[in-house]
Amino acid sequence: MARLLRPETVSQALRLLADGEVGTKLVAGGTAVMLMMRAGLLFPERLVALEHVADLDYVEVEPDAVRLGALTRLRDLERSVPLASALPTLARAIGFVANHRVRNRATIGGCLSEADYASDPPAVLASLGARVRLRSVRGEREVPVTDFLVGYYETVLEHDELLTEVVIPRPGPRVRTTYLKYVSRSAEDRPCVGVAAYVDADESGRTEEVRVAVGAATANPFMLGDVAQMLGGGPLDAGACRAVGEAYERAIEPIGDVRGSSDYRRKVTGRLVARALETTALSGHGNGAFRL
Amino acid sequence: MEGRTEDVAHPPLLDAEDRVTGRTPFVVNEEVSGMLHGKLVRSSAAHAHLVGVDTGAALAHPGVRAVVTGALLVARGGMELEFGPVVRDQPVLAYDAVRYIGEPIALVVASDPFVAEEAASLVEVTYDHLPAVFDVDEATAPGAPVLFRAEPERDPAFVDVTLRADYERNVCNVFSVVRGDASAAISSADHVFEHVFESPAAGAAPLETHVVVADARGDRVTVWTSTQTPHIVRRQLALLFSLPLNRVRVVVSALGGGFGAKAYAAIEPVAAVASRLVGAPVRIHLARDEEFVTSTKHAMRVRLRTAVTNDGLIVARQALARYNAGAYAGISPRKVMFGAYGLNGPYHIANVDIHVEAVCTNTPPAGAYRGFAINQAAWAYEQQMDIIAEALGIDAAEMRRRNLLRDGDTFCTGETLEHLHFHELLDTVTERIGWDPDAKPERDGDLVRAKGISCVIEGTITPSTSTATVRLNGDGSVDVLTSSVEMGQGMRPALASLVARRLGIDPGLVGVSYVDTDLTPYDQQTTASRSMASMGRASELATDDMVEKVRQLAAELLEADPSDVAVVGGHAQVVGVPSRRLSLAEVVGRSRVGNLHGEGTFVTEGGLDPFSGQGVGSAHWHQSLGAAEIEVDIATGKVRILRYAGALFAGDVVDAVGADHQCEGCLVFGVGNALFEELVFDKGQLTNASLADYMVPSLDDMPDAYGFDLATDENRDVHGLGEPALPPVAPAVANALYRATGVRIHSLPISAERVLRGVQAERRSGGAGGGTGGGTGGGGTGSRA
Repeated sequence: MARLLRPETVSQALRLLADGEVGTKLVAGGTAVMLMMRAGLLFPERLVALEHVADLDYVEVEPDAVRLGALTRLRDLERSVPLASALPTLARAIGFVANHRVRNRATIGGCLSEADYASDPPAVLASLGARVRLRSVRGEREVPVTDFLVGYYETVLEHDELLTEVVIPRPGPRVRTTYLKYVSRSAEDRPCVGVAAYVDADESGRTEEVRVAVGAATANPFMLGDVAQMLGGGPLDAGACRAVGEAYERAIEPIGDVRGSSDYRRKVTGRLVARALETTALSGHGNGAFRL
Repeated sequence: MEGRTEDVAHPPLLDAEDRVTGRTPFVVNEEVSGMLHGKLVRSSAAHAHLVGVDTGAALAHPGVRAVVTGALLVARGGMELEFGPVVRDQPVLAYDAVRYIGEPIALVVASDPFVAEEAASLVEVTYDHLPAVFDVDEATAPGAPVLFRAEPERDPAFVDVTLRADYERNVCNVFSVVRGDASAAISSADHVFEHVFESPAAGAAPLETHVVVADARGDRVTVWTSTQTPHIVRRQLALLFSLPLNRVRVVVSALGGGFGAKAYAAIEPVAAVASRLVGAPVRIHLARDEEFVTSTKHAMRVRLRTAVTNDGLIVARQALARYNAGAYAGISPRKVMFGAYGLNGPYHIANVDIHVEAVCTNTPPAGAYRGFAINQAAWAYEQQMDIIAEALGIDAAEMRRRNLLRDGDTFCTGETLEHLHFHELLDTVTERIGWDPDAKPERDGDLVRAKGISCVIEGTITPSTSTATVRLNGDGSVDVLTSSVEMGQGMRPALASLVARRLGIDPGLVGVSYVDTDLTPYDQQTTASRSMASMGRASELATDDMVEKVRQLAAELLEADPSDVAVVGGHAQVVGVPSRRLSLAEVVGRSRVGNLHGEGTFVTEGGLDPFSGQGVGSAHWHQSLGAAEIEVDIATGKVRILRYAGALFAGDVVDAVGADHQCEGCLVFGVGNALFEELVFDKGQLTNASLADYMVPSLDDMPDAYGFDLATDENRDVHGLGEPALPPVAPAVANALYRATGVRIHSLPISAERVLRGVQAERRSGGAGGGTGGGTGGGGTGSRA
């Protein structure tokens, strides 16, 4: 049976991790760890519960970046007025995770550290160029979310490291962002495919930077690096949106699961990438999240 | 203080406050002093001889009190080894063979449920694997693995079920409905349509999983259990222990949902047997993954052939349907009857030849399930109706109008039907949904909208028996003693309303018991939408019996002739002399009888011949229609139900709010069945046995707008509403999808992936959709699987 440890500060938690033998597991909101333990997939010897750790529950909006404390609950992020005004797409997308009972417990740090592929926030954060701050008794480092997530339920976290903060650069005033959450089954299901789009275009419609992150279809958010290049700086019209969608459809190698086969996800990805870009660039609905 | 007086005069409706404040006494909360906890060890083999069950390590685990195995029960003797409602084919614990993955092999009993669970993983089972079969057509084919070498023993209590079993083909029963000459009618018909439709197994997914506490110490057996069939469980346990019925006590408080899955005995036998062996009360509470393999909806495949005239009149129907019973017969031998007449649908068809088989396979046992056999039938025949209508160029509503049963028509069972309302119900739903025969699908980018309709007939279990006792207390309050089970359907407040209406008193003054077979009189079962019809009627008869006693006593007290005394508005009074009256409380008090009991027994007669399907199929017929407007995203194939209109004949409505809620519950259930729900098996192994992987609908999946119109007739029976609104949902959605896209889905559920595949195939074949395309669903003379 697992031993339960309840540190009250970040440094206490880091010390417990540092002298933790194999079999130590962090638990924040518990919505993932408890399910895995219940399903017999996880047998930790020591559970380091973070719920009493102070000072990691915050939303700080700075001129250049938004900082989210790792233990901030999804429900609080979804309802945060400063977050909704600085990063409306992220706030809305977080409100689509599971249901309010889960969001009342789950934290943003836990969500990223679990690295579940079938999740909404990673794709949105990846499209926004977010970074995560990782701390240990040895020091700290900052890693882009796209480098932090490296496989199915796999991150670059060392055994003694704790994700303490998510740092999201604030997009410039021209930038429009969209997240489309597509659930193939019940409205409370995890995403079958999620598409986060980020478009920076000038008044004439010429694109400076276009990023598209596809979530839930591959181990980690899937991004093609050269979308703006593909467009050659040209305007993001309906044909261009379709072309980007087709490029994603050709390039992605999705997984198959209960929410859809690999082939199905590939087709859906192509159409939804195009739709997300159209919504962002053409519809006038920029900066929102939509559940399909 | 006035407020308080008001409270007493109008006590809150039964159960309302408890529901809202979380005080409803669910079975899962039952605790018995000294109880131990059992965890089942389940088979990982789909079909095998049991070679050995090594319990050594589990027994050595600290906290473990016993490990009960089938071999132990065989060695001990003195108790039956099998149970089952119609045939006793299901081992309490497997001792010789296992027939599905998940079958109970041993029960680990410990002082703590988590210890029991840990120790259960230490039991080592050795199998000698046998060939297994999972599909109904494969199971009935020559050379298929055979699940039962010898025909299992019958339970004579189910006399109404005639068995036509053929265990060499794994068939545990067959039911036929034969009327007229279908072959001749088909060979001379203008058009013949033949299609195959399928429904998968599904889970009822009650929030409260099966739970039981059994105490079999001494010379009695008591179970506190989550069953919809207390008196059947009582009989099953009496047979198991060779006890008279009055030594078996079944106590049932509120169930956290049932939906059919909690009908008939399931874990009561093993808990009771373990309690007897261990000498302590034993509790078993199934985990969610266990719940999914305990009782499922029957998977079903039907080949349906329908012959019509050029005018769209149905002249004949042939069908061969196979319901997958799973490893044990359960109630499948009766279910085939419902499936057989159900496949006729609500249409006047002179020539019918329908055969329905229940087939045993190496999958978890299928049991009762909301919509009992009718969902699968309606899924098939209501889609075929649309296919035929389109092929003949007849509007789908008009096609139904020409064929729907009318008063005086003869049903396929030979019954002459009366009190039919199908045509007015069809008018209602088409008006509600805004049906336009010429409507084209509405398109907005990738989103396409269209509408679909469906019509269903459903019987209730016949013959059927309910008995009730009504008790008048010294203060004028009234109790109904009943063995009908409250499982969230609102049976208790509805019975209270019914009895209050009969007596002319406030419903808040009427209490309704939970079930305790030591105290509450016989009721056959809480299934088949029968409680308000059957137990409701028994309660009215019991009320009348009690009123008669009140009149006798009041006549003496009022010095009047009993024939001059009437009970009105909670008083006994001399007719025509309002001043000479006594309250019900005064009658009991002054006559010093303590309390007054009335007894009521309601029995319906009927039954069908299993070879011809002729006789009396149902005491009354449920008539239910549905119309759906859907929106499909052709980029993803995802279907959303935008609006839904249902219309039903409800007879005499007792509790209007409860009636509406039952229909609403059916719609929730139907949305899940239509769009998401399917138990997925890989060689007999269930692969989605959690609520994360198996999808039930959430509130956001409900249509934005929906409503139910109940046609009523207070001079008719109460029609139960637990199920009738359900079966039309899935075919109405499928028919709307076809009109939107030209895609015909033959196998439930209407998953987004299936729809997208169909949309793309339709596009390749050049179909225009909107009910004009051929492609996957095209009709015409001939066959299309």
